[in-house]
Amino acid sequence: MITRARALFRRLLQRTGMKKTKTDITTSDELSCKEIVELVTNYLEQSLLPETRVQFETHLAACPGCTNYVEQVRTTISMLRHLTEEPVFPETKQELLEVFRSWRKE
Amino acid sequence: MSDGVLPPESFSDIAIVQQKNAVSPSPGSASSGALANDRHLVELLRDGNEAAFVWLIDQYHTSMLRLAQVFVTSQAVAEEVVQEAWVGVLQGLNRFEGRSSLKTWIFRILTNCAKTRALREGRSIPFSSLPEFDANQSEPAVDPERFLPPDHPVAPGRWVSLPRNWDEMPEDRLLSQETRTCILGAIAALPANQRVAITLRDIEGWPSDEVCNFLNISETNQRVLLHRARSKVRRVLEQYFEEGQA
Repeated sequence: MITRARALFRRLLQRTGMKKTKTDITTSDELSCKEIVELVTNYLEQSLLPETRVQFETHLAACPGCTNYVEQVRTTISMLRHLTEEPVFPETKQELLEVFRSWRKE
Repeated sequence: MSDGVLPPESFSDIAIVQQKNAVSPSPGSASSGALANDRHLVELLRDGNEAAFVWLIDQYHTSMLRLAQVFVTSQAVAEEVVQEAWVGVLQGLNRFEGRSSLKTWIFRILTNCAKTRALREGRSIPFSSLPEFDANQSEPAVDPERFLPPDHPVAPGRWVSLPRNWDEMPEDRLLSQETRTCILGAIAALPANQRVAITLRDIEGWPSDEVCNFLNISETNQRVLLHRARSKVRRVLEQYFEEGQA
């Protein structure tokens, strides 16, 4: 029964795109830190299956290392998001407007 | 700048509606409202409305530049490619049928220009070989040495050295120009398809379905690419912050 449940769990994990390798299989249903770091993106993308999500959050609640890890990933994403705050150079805009004007004349 | 650049009343309304759409959860599944706005915008452009074109430049030019840089070698070439793409957009306006969103259409033109240019430069093109892309190939997010070995009697796979709490770092360090350079370096070092995924999703903030649609890849493959890219950028940042501590 347990074996079947584990096989099912593995299949479900595969469906989320995170195939487990043999060395990652733990002896219980608890996720290890090493597994958590591979599930972070699926967690943040909200694509974990409900039961995996519960396991993920249960682990997080008890593990400061993984809590920090997930926060680091969140910070990384928000830093990436802030790279975009650059306006278009006025000269570039002017050049493109010239392109537009000559296109309009055609 | 001439008066012609100021948006006419009717156009500024569109701009507002479109910006709202831009932050809605799934503009990829373009609502009929967004498509109607696209059509209106295209009509204005066809009529030679300069404000409409300026709005478009403000919306997309920087993003286009960033995406072009994924394909070609230098900033200068990327700028040429984007300029070429704008010309392509204008020349193709009459052929725009609204089957995809205007944004997707513009970025497809850009990608085509960039790919053509990359071919000429003799560079390989990301995603041209994506069907062979192996999502199951192991590429750990974190160095396995950071965890206890799988055969550890008590806690296999547990952290050996805990990741730090970055909130405890001074904010000016997180936001410094040097940190920025470090992130850009990390992205530049990524394989091209991971670079495209992280650029569109995290830097440009495109929603997942829009990116999948644009790159013609499955949600799963996109997540794998994104996962690997984010993991590497985080790792580089961690290393950089650790060095600063030493």
